[in-house]
Amino acid sequence: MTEPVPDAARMREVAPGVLEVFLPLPSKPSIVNVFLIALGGERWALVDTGTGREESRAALDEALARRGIEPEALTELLATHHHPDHFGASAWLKARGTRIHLSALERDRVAYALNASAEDMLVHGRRHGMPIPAQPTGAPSPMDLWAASFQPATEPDHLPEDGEVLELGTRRFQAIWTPGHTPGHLCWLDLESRILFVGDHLLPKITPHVGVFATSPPNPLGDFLASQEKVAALDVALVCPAHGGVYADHRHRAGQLVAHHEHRLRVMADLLQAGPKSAFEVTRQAFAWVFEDGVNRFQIGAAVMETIAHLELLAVRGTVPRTLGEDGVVRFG
Amino acid sequence: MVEKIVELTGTSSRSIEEAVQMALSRASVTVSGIRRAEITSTTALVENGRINGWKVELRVAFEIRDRIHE
Ligand SMILES: [Zn+2]
Repeated sequence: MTEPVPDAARMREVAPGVLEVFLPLPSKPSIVNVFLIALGGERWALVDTGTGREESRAALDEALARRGIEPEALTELLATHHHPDHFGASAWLKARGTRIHLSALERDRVAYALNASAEDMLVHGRRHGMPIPAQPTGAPSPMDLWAASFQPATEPDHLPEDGEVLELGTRRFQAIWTPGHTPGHLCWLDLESRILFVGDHLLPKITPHVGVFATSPPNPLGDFLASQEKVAALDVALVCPAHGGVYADHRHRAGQLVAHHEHRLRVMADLLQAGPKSAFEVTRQAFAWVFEDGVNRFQIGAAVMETIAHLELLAVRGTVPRTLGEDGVVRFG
Repeated sequence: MVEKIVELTGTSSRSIEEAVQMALSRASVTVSGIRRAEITSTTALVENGRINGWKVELRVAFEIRDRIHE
């Protein structure tokens, strides 16, 4: 099937040899930014892929063609994390000869997403008080949700470790492990230009989702806040995020994201003053709007997972106790 | 120095002080340089004859910092 080249096939140069390419997404946010980086000698690196959907791949090819970049010249993919809008077209790129750099933890998330059943999430949701019937109909597995968007490379060529430096042509990139949004999320720092490619870690306008899922690490919000401190300690000239415009003051934004979550922690701790509650009960109060009519029901699940992340951190900090009831439901407070 | 003043509310199940803190912690996500919070109204929230929370209304003053355009 050939589709017309979408309007979103636009690009701009955000720094010398660094092109921001806007790729379309099927739902909000409606655009993911990927970055083409000149490595010298006609070689290019790409940070993240966009989804595996036809319209997104066509938009990337259009951007390459417009700059006269041959597909074979795209020799490296520096992936931030496994989500479909970041890694969904990686199988396609790998088949064209691009070397795939993805952290080992994210490689594991790819394997999990491809094989997970709906059952894991149902068990996890019930444990946190979600009213899920014993025989639910239409419960989706990760691949039911991601299907057309997610065609990942299952075997990356290289599994970068925290702090590792990749010498690619004229540039050197350092992998900065920033767990939180996902367990193995990487930011990529161009060591000479001090440009930081942050994926979803440090978005300028929206707060990245941080949730506890069926097989997540136990305290992703604690990880996320520590990763904000880690990035704030870096010297950075320009931040290139996956959603929203490029910007300069990474410390200011990291501080805002920390303040946002500290406020939410305070609100939830206050809700638990009235007595122990499951994550689902806390969600009903802390994220009341997701239960209103007309809100996509997957927002409820996302809000519950985000709430669990906050409650687990409160428990780790000793602010509230965590107990497992005889009914199999975890309660906090 | 010129300050900007915004009106906010905060609630807490614990105390008046915590209700003020609740409003300030939210405001601090997007606003820096808060210097004072004047409590303009204090309300006890009551259920079954018992206090189960506090609501405050605040006038919050913060310094306007002109960001230098680069
Ligand atoms: Zn993501």
